[in-house]
Amino acid sequence: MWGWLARLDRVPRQTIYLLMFVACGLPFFLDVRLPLYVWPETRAVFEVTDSTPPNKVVLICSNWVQGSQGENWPQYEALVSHLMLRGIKFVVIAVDSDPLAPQFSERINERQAAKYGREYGKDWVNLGMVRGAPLIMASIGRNIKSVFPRDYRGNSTNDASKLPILQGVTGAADFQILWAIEYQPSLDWMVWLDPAGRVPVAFGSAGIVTTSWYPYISSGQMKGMMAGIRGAAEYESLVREKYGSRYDQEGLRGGRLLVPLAFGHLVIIAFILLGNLGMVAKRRAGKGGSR
Amino acid sequence: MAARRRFIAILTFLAGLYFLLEFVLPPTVPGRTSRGIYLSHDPTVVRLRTGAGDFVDVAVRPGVELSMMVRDPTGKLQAKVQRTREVSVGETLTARTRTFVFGGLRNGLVVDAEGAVAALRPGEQLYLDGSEETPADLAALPIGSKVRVEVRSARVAEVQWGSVTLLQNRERATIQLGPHVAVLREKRKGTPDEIEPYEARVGDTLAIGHTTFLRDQRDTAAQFNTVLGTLALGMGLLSLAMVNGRKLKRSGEDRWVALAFFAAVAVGVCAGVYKYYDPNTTERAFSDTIVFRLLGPVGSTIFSLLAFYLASAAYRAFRIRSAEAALMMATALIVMLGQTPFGMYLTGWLGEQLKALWLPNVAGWILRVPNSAVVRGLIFGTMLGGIGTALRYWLNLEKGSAMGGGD
Repeated sequence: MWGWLARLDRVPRQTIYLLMFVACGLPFFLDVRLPLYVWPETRAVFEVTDSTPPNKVVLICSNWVQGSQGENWPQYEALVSHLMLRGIKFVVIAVDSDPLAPQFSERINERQAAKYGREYGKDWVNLGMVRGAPLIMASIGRNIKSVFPRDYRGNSTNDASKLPILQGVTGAADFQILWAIEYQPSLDWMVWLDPAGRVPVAFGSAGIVTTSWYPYISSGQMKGMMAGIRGAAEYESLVREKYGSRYDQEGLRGGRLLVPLAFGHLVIIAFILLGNLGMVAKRRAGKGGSR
Repeated sequence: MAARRRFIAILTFLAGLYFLLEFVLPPTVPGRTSRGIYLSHDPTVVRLRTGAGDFVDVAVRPGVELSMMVRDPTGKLQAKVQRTREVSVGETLTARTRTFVFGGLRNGLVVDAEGAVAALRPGEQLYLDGSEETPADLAALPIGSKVRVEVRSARVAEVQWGSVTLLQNRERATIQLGPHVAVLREKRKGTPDEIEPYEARVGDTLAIGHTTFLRDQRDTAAQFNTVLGTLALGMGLLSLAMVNGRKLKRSGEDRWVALAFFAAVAVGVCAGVYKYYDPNTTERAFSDTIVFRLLGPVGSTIFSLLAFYLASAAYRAFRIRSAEAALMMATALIVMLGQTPFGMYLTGWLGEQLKALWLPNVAGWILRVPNSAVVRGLIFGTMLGGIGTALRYWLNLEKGSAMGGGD
């Protein structure tokens, strides 16, 4: 028996790849429902975002592009769908990102705006991309319009008729929360946007880098985060829990992608256990053979 | 080479010095700064001379905004707001003297929404809020529109500097304002905010003094940084073009790769330019196809390969060969399971009383407590290393190619 089990020590990588493919692909064809536990880090940022007063805007730094869209897209869409549903005004920027970042974010903004009947310039604005972090972050905190004289569509940020959303928005004091969504958001936001720390900072990042943010959350420098796809699914569930059927979940990806992700994790865990079993079996089989 | 190296070293040192001084020095000159509790103030009055020779006195009060009209790169007028202390005699300014809601015309006079006459002084003109180029056409202006009264492109003839009255050591003291005299509102936490005197409220603690100018240049430094960052993009493209250009000249197999590079750049530039077109145009459809139907799937595919490599690597690497490895594997399994819905599925049955033992909560504890401690240690280490490296660059101790040294 040990001899047979010892074969688990050397499973061909093609087998692992195939099982991984099946585990991640199958949930797309089966209706699998799993219980979801909402982590406090997600709940905290949801509550701050949800309580945005009418005189403030949510600032979103959306730096993600195709590479990390698997995780950042669901996060961004969960956040934007919440803001559009509630009619919370938001300003989208990209800092030191791939130049395509505003195009990716704007596509989602337009899709969600069509669902909830929101209007560009009144409910949201996309200011495009700028380079020069971290100093430019400080300038955004002081006067965002001086950093972005024009929006992504070429309108002047001082033009009240086209961008009424920006009237009364100057800097840090007008931001309810900063959301930085990308593979690994910059820690500089905490230091430079508002040195006084009045603007809560939240990250939406790839699951693999979230371990780095916990010290900042416990110190209070960060309000919370959306951790990978799990965070997006939790955020969607929080909005659904609070707003029920008013929340149109058509096309949202967090909850949908969580199941393949969970099955993928299960394959990794299974292979780690099997590998160790194989290693033990090989040792035992070796000892048996020598006797 | 030596001259280039010296130039880079001097430039780096000066840039570093600016940031150090800006961080260390207070915003106003120590010893020449008055501190106290705000009581009242007399506004500064800027006398403007319009192109037609009219004089308009603008008292700097709430609602008043002084700005310089500058053209942005697209040629459109853009107002650059100026602080009162930056105003100097002889410069050309635009002043927004007030805003109100247009209530129509009565006997040829402009009235506001409450019916009060909004008398315009010679040189003042009405602009529809949001329109920057031309004055509003009063006959066609809809009632209820928000309008601004502005004096455009007028020369500053004189500045009568105001003053601020502070309570210092239980006595009233009048502090004269002047050019480059900054008014700072102190806060319980963080750096003080620079304000206009009319923004102060009775009871605020103010610091008034001659500015050290360092903070004024922060936006310029940020823009310099932006320009450098953007230049780096162009330099990267230029460098790639040179490398691939050389490959193209040679008749090796590499030339097809080089050709693909130039074709990709051409397509990328077109897609980048066309993304600003209206959504229903062919150009925009081309851009969207390249970005969302080509780049998107390709990027995601490459990134998703990680899942397969990760599974294979975890299978080979996570072997329990020591007690430490066993601890690490147990932790990894708990954190992995805790982050997926299976964590709740496996331990949710324990009930509310044993909530602390739910896998997501155990995983959360591991991430918030032991993981945070480790990450903090790492941060301290990397930050100290970062400071050391920064000092090496700043003091020209770094001899690498980035500082003009050899390749």
